[in-house]
Amino acid sequence: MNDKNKQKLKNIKTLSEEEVKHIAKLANLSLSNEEVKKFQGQLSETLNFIQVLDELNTEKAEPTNHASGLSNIFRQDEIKPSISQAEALANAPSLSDGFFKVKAILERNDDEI
Amino acid sequence: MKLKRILIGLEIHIELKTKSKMFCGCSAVHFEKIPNSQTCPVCLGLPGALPVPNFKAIESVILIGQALNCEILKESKFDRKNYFYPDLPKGYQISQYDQPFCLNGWLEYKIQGTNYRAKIRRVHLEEDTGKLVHTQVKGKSCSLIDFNRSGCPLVEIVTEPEFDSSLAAKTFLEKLQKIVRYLEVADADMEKGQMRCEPTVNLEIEDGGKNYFTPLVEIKNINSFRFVQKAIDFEVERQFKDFEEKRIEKMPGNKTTRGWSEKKLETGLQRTKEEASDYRYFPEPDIPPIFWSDKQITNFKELFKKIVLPDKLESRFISLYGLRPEQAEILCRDKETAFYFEKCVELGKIKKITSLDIVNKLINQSKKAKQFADLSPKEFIEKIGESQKLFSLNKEEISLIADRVLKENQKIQDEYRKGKTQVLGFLIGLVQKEAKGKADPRIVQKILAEKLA
Repeated sequence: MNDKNKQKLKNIKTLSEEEVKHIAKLANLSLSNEEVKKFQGQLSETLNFIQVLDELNTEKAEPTNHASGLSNIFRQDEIKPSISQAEALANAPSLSDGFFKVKAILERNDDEI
Repeated sequence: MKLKRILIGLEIHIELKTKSKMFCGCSAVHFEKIPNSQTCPVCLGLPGALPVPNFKAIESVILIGQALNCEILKESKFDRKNYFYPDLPKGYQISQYDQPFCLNGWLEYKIQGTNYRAKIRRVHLEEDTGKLVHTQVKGKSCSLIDFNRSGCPLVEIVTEPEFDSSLAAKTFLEKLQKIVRYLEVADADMEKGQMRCEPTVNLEIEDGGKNYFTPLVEIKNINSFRFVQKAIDFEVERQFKDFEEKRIEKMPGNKTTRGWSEKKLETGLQRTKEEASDYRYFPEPDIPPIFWSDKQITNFKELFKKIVLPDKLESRFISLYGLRPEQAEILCRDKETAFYFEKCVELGKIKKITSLDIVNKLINQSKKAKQFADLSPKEFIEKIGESQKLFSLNKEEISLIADRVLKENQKIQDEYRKGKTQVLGFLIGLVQKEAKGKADPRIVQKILAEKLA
């Protein structure tokens, strides 16, 4: 980790309400005002706890992006049977005409966008 | 206030035409199939499913990368791009972040005889999302999802923001489409959504000796080359007016997405764009990294070398067969016509039919709904041979007959010279009769008109 990032982490004391709301939005969660306050404390604590990793010297460690030690795992371009439409839709909370159905998702839906 | 410069960057998605999907064995041919009939736990994002990359798709991306003069990275991997949208069943898309298969290339394209070079930033592989249909069921608005397309291999090509006109962007895209078709890795039909293009547009505006940049706008939902141009032109005008009114400059975090509406011929605000860090990219733990050996890289290069690309074919047609650049361009628009032409030239040699005879016939025919498609090259050559045999008389021979006919019909000649030009048809008929139909009527008309002038 470079010095700039280290500095950034050290500076974390408490996340702002805005930051908590932003993280909640990315996680697709809606939080009440009380929850925002609650998680502001909890998330900050977690971050401060994880900061302990900063103490490790990683100068000589190679970046790892995979734990299995495997590489180059591929498959040939061959078709295998799919599951049926009925099976695919079996656990859908809502459906219509063979489609999964969700509530309208576009803010602006006066046209096919 | 003056528009100083238009800046356009292109992000292009192209569906690869593999048989199976990117990470599972479901069929990747999804157009107009029964909804949700081609899925499995992998492409539905069910827990515990294991994605395994399709080698053919990777090979196809690396072919595209080479055609775009990119370097092939020796180490590559897949990453998860996290965001929530109903067409993305896992809550993340398997994509590539910092180690795409190909980086840093360029592609030349031509506008009115001048060559331009577009810089390519990257070419990477990812999986497609499901397809959303926005509709109403029982009077209530809703969105329907079909996951047949989910997990199909999708190539993303990102250019530098260096196009300075909508025409440049469109011309580049047409060239790109032609290339992927020559590579036979994609059909890239825009109307079918097999090639999707998202231009990002902003402007540099000069005012009072200072330069300002307008906020970035990404345009979505464009499904034809014509609309690429229209949408960009609309956006340029909109941004200029918007800046005049509000004077908002480009800043981190104020990039927006606008959707092109074909009906209204305008772009409308869709959403504010997430920053890259909001996607929380991280290496895909289910797919081990990829390291290419030197031998494998050589194999990719050998494979690429075997493929003829349109530029090369066009210059071959010009130098080898003496075609004009425009003719070569028309013939090379698609690989089938180009190869058909070459086959015809080969066969024509024996019958002394020149490449120019063939190109003329072929271009005329291709205007008329490609009639030649029904004929084999051999039949096509025979047809040309017959029509040439039909008009076996050369200009000198026709000229002699014409002289004879004119001499015998002095009166008609006089009528013509007095302005009764319709008698020309009669004279052509007489020459044809003498020639027993072996004269090309166009040449007869030309010769007669010259002699009568």
